[in-house]
Amino acid sequence: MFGYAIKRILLIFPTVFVILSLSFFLQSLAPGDPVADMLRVDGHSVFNSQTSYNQAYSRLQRQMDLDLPAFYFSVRPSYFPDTLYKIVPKQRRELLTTLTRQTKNWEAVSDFHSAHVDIIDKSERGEEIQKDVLVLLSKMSSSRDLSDIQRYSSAIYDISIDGENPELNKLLGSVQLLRDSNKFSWPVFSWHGFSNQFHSWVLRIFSQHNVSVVDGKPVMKKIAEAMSWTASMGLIAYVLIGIVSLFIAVCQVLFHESWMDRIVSTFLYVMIAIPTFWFATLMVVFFTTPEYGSWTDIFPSIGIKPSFIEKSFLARFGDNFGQLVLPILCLTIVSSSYLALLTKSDILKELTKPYISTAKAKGVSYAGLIRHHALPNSLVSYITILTGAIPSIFTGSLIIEVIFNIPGVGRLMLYSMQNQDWPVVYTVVVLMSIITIVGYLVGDLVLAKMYPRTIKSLKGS
Amino acid sequence: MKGLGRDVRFWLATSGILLLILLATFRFQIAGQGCWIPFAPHEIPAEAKAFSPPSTVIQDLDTGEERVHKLGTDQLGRDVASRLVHGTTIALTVGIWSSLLSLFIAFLLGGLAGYVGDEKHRLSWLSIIVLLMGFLLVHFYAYEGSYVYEISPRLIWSLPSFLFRSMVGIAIILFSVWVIEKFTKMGKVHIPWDTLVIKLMEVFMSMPRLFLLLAVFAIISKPSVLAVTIIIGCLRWPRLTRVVRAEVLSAKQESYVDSAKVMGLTDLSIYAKHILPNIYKPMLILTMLNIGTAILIESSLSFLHIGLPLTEVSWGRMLSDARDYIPAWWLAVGPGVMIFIAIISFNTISQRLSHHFESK
Repeated sequence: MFGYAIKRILLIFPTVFVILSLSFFLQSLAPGDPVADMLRVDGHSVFNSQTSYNQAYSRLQRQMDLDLPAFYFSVRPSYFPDTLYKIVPKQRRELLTTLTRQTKNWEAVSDFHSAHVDIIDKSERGEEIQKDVLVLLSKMSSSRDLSDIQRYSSAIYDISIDGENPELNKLLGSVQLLRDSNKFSWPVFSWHGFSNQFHSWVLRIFSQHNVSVVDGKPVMKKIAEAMSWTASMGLIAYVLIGIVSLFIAVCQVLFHESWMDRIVSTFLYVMIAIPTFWFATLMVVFFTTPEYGSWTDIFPSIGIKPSFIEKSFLARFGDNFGQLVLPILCLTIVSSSYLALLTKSDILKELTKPYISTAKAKGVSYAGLIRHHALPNSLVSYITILTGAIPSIFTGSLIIEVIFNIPGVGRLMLYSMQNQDWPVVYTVVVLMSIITIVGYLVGDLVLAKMYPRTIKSLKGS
Repeated sequence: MKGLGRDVRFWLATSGILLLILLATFRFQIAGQGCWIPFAPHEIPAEAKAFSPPSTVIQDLDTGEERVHKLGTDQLGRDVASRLVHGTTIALTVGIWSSLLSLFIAFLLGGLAGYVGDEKHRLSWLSIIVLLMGFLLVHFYAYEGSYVYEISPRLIWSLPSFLFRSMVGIAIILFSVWVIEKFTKMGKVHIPWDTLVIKLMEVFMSMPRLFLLLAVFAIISKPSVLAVTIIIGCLRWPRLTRVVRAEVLSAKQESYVDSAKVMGLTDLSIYAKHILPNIYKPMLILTMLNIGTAILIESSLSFLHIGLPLTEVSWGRMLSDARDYIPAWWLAVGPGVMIFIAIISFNTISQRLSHHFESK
């Protein structure tokens, strides 16, 4: 038992590492530029010049550790420079990456880069540059690849009347040199050590410095607020599922083969196949409004009332308890149907065993047989499923939260996804994974303590 | 199959699935201009009203032709009945293909874990190094080489080119490993396939599935049916793999496997031609269940407006529209009934099959 527990606890670390790197990888593929998103206020830029924007950008980028290499090591084609990650902003870095891929010639690309930056700096400092040329120059920085650059460059050449500007000539000359060099390339491996984005991301993911892009609040604070709703609902539903399903199963066994048993079994079987979100939608549509007759207005309208004054969570929970009845009902009903059917068939199977016949021969009543003999021995799968469901207390049900407008973790994740608030999204993923892993571990250990013989089957998976 | 022949529930479920397949196959004959349901799924008739209740009659302004909205209209005035019929396609396509994908992965990994196991496969150190370094190199050159000029100088990354290059590279590596194994005599080590697959499954099963799904869908810029199918398929392999592994382990003890070995059949043909056909029963049961679950996942995703492109008709998305206008009960009932029929049919078939196989 002890060895088993140690082994399981040690296995958590590699699993969490895999989850962390997977989340980081997905996050780095996500669209948008996190630094630019943070600098925007209500979707608008608040900087009056490009220079001050760039300064703020690089300061924030340094704060967010985004000027570091991505991972502990990298494998890059040999024609790539090893310091490409230092170039800001993200859009420019991506343009230079594409150009380098197209030309396989970093010298030409960096010449173009510095010429372009020089001329834009000049114009920022107030040097006279033709207006149309300036427009084309700024279009150049948002272009996607070589064909755009060449198009803009020839357009600049066509319209520029000021043929004497040395910077402009330098830029046009450097574009001329952007050509495919057809170099042969090989993979170059480089080790970056611990100062990399992944490492610092892991270190600050649960700290105050990991903030939401949308409102600047610490991510963990947002998650904690959401989690209190999800977990309190989940806990109530969990306890209800445990009690209700066992109660139904025992009743069904007591009245086995009666008409009531048949009706309840059919009902349970249908409930399993009903998608939760359909059941919930039907409930909302038919039982929260007086639209279909006054007797259908059973439950209050959906949604948690917003609280404008500072109130403790428990007080808000009490205020909104009426609104939570329906979602908890929806969370409970499907799972307890499934668990009740399973437990019932387990008890019935147990009742066919020889020791039950012996007890029956000794004159134990049917209820006594179930209560003292069959029930304790047939609860293995009931307890297995209940312990396996521990993580779902915290992960909750995203769809139920969305349907009933409960500000839980699932809805937070969905809304952050729609707002491209990646820090929140991937912190939720990581946190949920860790909770799931630890929850399964606790469940398995409880199970192993109660039924030591299950360790073998858990090990052999 | 005598017992199954008299099983009413089995036949009910089968006819439910047949009905769905017929709806999906003949959708253009059932719902479209001039058919039984006289509306195309995306059609917004000029005279249509949003949220008109079932059996509303609309009259064409030009021709005076009368058409009936049998199950009412949705928030844009599109016909619900027609959309229900056309939604069958997506549900079945995603459900069946993603289940086949996870079944394929399960046969591959379950076979590796169950049939090859920890002890059977031995490779020399040189081969292992060649394999690891080779895969890295192949990936590098296939990835780098797949930047092709669409029209010079516009550069795109091409997936077909990448796949072709990878195939060629992998073939070269496997050939060189075969040469090394055949013609050199070096110290060999066991490859613990069973342990590797089990560890992979453990890591995968400990992640919260729905959150992982969302995290993956968050970065997909262009939603498509193919992406949804592949992601759902890749999500559901561990359970199937576990069963395949267990079944293969017990089938390996059977005498027909020994006979096949004595006859000199290769391991691959023993696995594919003899073991797999013999474990079809549990696989059939699980696959039926899996199709139902995949349909459920697809409709939940569409319910959250994730995954499928807007041009596809999906029951889940129709159902989520029902919440916007509560008096329109026909929007909540119709799609729900369709999802319910699909799921309960597949679940019942799976349950009856397992009952039948067990009682025999």
